Amino acid sequence: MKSKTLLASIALASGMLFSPLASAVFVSSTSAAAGNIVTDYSGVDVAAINLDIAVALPPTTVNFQIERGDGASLAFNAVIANLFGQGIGRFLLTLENATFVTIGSVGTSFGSVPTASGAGAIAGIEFLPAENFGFTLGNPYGLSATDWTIDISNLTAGDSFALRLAVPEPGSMPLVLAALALCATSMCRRTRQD
Amino acid sequence: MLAATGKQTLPAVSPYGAVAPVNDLTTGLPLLRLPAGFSYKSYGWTGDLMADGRPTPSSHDGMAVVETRRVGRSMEHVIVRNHERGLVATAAAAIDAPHNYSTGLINGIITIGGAATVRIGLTTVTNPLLPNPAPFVGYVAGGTSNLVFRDGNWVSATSSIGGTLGNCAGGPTPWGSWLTCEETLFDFSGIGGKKHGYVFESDANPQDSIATPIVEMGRLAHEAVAVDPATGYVYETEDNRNLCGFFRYVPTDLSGTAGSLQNSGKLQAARIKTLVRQAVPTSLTQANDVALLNPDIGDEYQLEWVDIADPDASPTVVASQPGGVTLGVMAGPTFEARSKGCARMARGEGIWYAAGKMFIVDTASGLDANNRPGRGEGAVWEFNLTTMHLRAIFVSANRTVGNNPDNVTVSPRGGIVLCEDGGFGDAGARLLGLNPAGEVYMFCLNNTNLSAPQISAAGKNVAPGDYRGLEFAGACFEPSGRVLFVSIQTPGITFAISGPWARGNL
Repeated sequence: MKSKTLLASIALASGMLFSPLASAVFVSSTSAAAGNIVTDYSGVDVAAINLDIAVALPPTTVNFQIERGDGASLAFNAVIANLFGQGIGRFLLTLENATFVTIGSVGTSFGSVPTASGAGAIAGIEFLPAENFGFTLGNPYGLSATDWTIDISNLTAGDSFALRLAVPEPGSMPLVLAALALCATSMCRRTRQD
Repeated sequence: MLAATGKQTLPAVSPYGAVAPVNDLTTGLPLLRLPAGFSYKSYGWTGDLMADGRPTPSSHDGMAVVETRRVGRSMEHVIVRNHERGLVATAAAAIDAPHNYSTGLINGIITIGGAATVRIGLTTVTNPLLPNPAPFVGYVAGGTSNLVFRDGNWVSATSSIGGTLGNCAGGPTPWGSWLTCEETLFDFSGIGGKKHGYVFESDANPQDSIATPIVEMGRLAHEAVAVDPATGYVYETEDNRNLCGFFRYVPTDLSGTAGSLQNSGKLQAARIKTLVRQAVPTSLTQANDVALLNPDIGDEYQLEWVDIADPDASPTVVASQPGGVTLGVMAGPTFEARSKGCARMARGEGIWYAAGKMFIVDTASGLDANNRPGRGEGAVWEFNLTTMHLRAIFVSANRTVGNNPDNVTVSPRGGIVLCEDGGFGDAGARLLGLNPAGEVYMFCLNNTNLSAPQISAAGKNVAPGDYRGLEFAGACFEPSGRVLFVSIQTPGITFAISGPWARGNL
């Protein structure tokens, strides 16, 4: 299925959802720097958080537990508040025990233009210029944006997956991009083998 | 940089870097010059239609975020904004809020006695041999409007109090309202209106605003107020050239709830008790009379508080005051304060509470070219609420450094922002930052110069003109410190500015 191989385009967000969606998750634990706050808005079919980042480092890890595991994928959205006062040029999301299916909307309020890309377990966003206020992933406010989707087909009730959210240091982004490229290549190769 | 005279003579270097024109994300117009990385959205231009169906009033002034609330996953802020308006020709042009103070037609002149008798209408006549001035005719048009800002976006605006006069600045309360201040001493009660010069309480919910004056806070040329959250006392500045005191209101009801200030209280005026440090030594009496009119950086005084018997006393005409004020109208409570030896300020403007201190701007501290005190370029005082020490932390030596700062706010990071109101000219009015060493630097420059085609394309209703020299007002941050709200008073535009604040101290 081609949509499984090219996971990087926002434009691919529509029409490629797995069905049926009937899972429920909640945030079971977080690992965040003091002052960083994760608020859980997850529920049936959706992993959803608000993250207030007062300290950019180290990355914040959010562990989601599958409460009911009947679906192959979950919608995902988030509100990321930049409270540390330095522009976010890049933002990195890494999954463990799950993968991104589609990269949905990224919303900003003060003019920076986001470019999102992702493959497998890694997604990255570049902001030009750097984002100072914060941003949304997916459709947290129930407006016209598009949620991201996460593949949890390998998980059942009681299992967990982790989402790590990071503001990479400027010098580390080439490594991130290399990792993204590697993942994309790997996914392509696997798909061809399928 | 400090001069030998104890005043700052050169601007400090901004930690945010140089400013350059930045296009407004709302209209595309280059209304502000900001450091790299900062962007902004304008809203609530004069004439823009508000949610209550009325046009946005003109003359934007003091503001504060009075309520921050979660609405689902959204973060929403309510900002109350003053409109420093006088009289308008028709009742329809006045603010029509859920609660309004004075709504009648004003028609006539007013007379104030004292050292001389002055008659005031559209002009002021002091010579008894001259005929009356042209009368006041119109409706009282000042008041406040409430703005809602959610998730980085402007949402709505609506009228929140009306029928007040010359609402210059004010101050937020810890209980989520805004004390709006009338900067006037006019008594229209004999010519169709009401007495003015009071403080009113605007609420985050306009329906809960109280259009009844808090009389015991004093009838003054009020500028701004700030509440000490530890005591519930309200500190008040007055703006009346060299005829000002510094006051506080001690409420009887310290419940800290909407309307609690209405439940009586005591007005007090500041008097210098101890000379802690003076660059130019004076006697205690001289210090109370003139020292605050021309301070040097580091001048420090300990204050005490003197009860004012009649906070609602009528103003009186005084003569031969410092700084070349040959004849002026002094507020009644200020006259009583002066008779009790209390301290005189030049032109008290903004006041803001932060971390156990009040930061107070006197926009006219210093000397003019003729060495007249109280006609300089301004100063910032830090008032320690524990020790009652008042210390000059910034004094401008010239208009290049600071050109009559007016409103003030303190960011959640502890940085002080000053709004200039000096008409600097073509260079433009500025937002100034005060660094930890007490030195000011330019953060933002007014770049609003509007042509008719630009206004038309933006769908606005203001007059074309070059507004770059006109004052900033109402600077305030939301609690996270991500957004600075500020207005340009004329033509009346409010901005939400965001950027990499942590690069500096704001």
